[in-house]
Amino acid sequence: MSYLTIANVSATYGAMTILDGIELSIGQGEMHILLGPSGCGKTTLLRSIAGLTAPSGGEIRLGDRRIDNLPPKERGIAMVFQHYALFPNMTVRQNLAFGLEQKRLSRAEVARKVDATLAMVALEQRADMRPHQLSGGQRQRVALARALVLEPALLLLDEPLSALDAQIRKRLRDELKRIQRESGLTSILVTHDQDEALTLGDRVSVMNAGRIAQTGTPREIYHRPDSLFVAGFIGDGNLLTPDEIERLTGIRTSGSAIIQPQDLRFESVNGATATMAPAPDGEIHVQGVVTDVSLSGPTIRYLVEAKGLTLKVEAPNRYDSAELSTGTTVRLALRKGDIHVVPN
Amino acid sequence: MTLSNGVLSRVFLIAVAAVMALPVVATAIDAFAAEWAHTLLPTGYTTEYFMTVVGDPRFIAAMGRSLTVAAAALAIATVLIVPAIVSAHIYWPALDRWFARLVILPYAVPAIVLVVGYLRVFSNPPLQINGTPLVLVLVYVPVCFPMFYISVKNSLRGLAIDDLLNAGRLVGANDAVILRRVVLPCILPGIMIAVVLNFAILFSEFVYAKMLVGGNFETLQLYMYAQRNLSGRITSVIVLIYFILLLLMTLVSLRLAETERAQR
Amino acid sequence: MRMRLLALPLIVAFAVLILWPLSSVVIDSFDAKGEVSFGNYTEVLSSAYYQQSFITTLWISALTTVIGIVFGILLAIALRARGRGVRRFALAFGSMGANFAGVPLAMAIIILFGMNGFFTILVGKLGLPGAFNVYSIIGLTIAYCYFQIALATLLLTPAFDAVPVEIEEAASLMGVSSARFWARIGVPMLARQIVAIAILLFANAMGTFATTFALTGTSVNVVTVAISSLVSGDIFSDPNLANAISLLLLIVLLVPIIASQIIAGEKRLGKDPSAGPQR
Repeated sequence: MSYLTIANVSATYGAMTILDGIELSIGQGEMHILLGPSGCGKTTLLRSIAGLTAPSGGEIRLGDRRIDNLPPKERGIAMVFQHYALFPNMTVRQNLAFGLEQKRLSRAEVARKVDATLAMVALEQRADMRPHQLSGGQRQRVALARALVLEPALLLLDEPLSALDAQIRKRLRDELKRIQRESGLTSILVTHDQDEALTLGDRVSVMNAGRIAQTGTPREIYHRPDSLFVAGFIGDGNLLTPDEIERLTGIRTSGSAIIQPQDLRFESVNGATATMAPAPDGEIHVQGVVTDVSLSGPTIRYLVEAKGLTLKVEAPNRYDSAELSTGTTVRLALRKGDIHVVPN
Repeated sequence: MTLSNGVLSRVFLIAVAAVMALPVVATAIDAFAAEWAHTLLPTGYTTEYFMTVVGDPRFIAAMGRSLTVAAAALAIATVLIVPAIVSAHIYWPALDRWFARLVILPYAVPAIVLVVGYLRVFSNPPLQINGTPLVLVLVYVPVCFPMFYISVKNSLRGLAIDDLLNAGRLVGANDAVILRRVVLPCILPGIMIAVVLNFAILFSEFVYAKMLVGGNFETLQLYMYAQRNLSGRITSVIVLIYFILLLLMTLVSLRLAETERAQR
Repeated sequence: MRMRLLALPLIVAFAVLILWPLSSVVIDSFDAKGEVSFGNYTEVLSSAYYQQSFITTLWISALTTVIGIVFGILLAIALRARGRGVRRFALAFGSMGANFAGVPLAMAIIILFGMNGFFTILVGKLGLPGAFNVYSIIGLTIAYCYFQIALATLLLTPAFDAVPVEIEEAASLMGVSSARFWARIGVPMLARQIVAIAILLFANAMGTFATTFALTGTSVNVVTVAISSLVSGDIFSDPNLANAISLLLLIVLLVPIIASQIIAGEKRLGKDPSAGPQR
């Protein structure tokens, strides 16, 4: 059941088309991610939903209300900005209370809601500090709390983690996920970081040049990209043309295909375990030479030269696993089902 | 809808602009009015008064004096001030902090207070220069400082000077060469903007001209002052011409600022 | 360091052109008929005439500063939402307004409000009360307001532009009206800068001479005109009294300016150094 419905929304700036007939529906309680390179229109879409930018056409419905012709403050939408946008002259508590005061709630009611929300983001201790006394991560938690306290119908987050250091970003990402799950608040988060998108999102819309290229669950987006753009933008897979696929596997595909690096397994090294046994059904074996090795955290990335192609191969990085050096001859195994043909 | 983006703000801006433009517009109408008394708008228009002023040798002479004094003062000011600002920016941060404070000097120390001091110190040897154009040229130098500082400093901030100097030292160029060949061309637009804006300021200067030199050396401002009680038409023409000059200088400075921004 | 020598000529020039005359003002202010004393100060402070002159100047400066700041804030907020073209035009207008001050402004004010002035005739035709003597403190207030509003707009617009748009948007999503946003957040955020600019405006008015002298001559008793009368060599000439009044004027100006600089300096320690005042 669609909660937020975006129908044929377009936006232009001068002669440029920023949004080109966007169609999207988002269910209640969903964390939806808008992912795309800079300039793809994801922020404009977010701002159009908030009412900070007027789209040139289309319809936006939230619940059973049409909201695209309402002023921002009547839409019941809260937003968290990349650079926090806290009110610098107010304490944390005053930042949270300011929006509630506009609703003419009693003082006791305001205080109760503010305290409850501060507890949710674990900032009770900081209630009387001003923004400049807080760290970046704390500031963004205040910004989140300021949005939550108004109990909005929809929460928008515009690159909320991009301004933070890597360590804090990861912690806040987890916390954001927890808070969103607990509150059940329908949320849309804009990001250009695919890790963030895949970790946080219930569903992800990948955007490109003012259009939505694909919408799906993180697993769908990652393993079953339905366009070359999405295949190229998500992950770091081996994107091969039909000719290259045929050369490598002998299979003729109807279009370009993607093979994820972790789907390529080392069957044997220097012919050691190898009886040159034929591959079991559904599996393909390919001979190659390791040309580069690099460590990237939990995995080791190899470049393997096979049949004139350079393939990216990923293996788990365990302390006791043998590290292959460059020049090693290897045999790679691949299941046919892991060759995903990208529809055009 | 609201103050910052609605009709209200538009109306307010237009109303204030109209009120602020009123003195200039009234002056312009008056300058070309043939007959304007007891009616709201003139009954006829003429260029007679305009021609009278433009053809007045006294006006032309005053204009010439203002231009000469401003040009001489600016030449000296540029040579004294620009190297000092660059030097303080790179080599002498303590001095730079003092320079930053001196920017508000024209507000903190009114010209009339300095006049009292100048009248005393420049009336006796060794620098007995009161009453001569030289005193104007000299006292105009500090007047030029704030604009130079703001504008040149703005250009300097946009340059990674330490990197430039280190890169130069690595290829064997000494600092003076880098300053002349790299830094100076980069801050030249900033210097030009300051020169034009200072020109407008010196052109508008009245207090020093009146109190230190007076009738001995009639600048444009002193000429305007002397003519203020003559026929209203004549004064209007003078004010209008002055305003047009000011407008031209402002347009040139805007143009320069635009080019500088484009080069960044 | 050798490169510091480049700053030397300017330091010498400042010593000769600022330090020397100022110290002469300070020293001579204590010179009463050849003796070192506070004689000049007691004379100034006990004189009803000079007391009145300070009161008048303080009053007109404070009034036009408030008017300038109020208009400047409203204009800066209104300009914030406008396009680049309008804003550049407004800043050019402001800078011209500041340079227009002095003799030309006085003359333009006379053309508008003088005996045969545009405004005076308009008011007369409509039979409205409102004609006034332009060569008075009212005419002076109008003239001061002109350049104070121009200067305030010039100085306040960049300060208001520095308020992030995101903050304004965050407030608007929270249901805060624009007027309320500026009253509760925007203006308080900029309070220190607004105070510093107000002090500059105040000093600007206190030190104004050209506009005053050209419009009202010596008929309105303001401090700068009083000083000029004492040094201009006619029968009232008393340079040492002028020194004492000058020093009193300097104190009135420097105390708030230095105080605001110290406050601004403290604030700047944690923040990036913002550009100095622009004229």
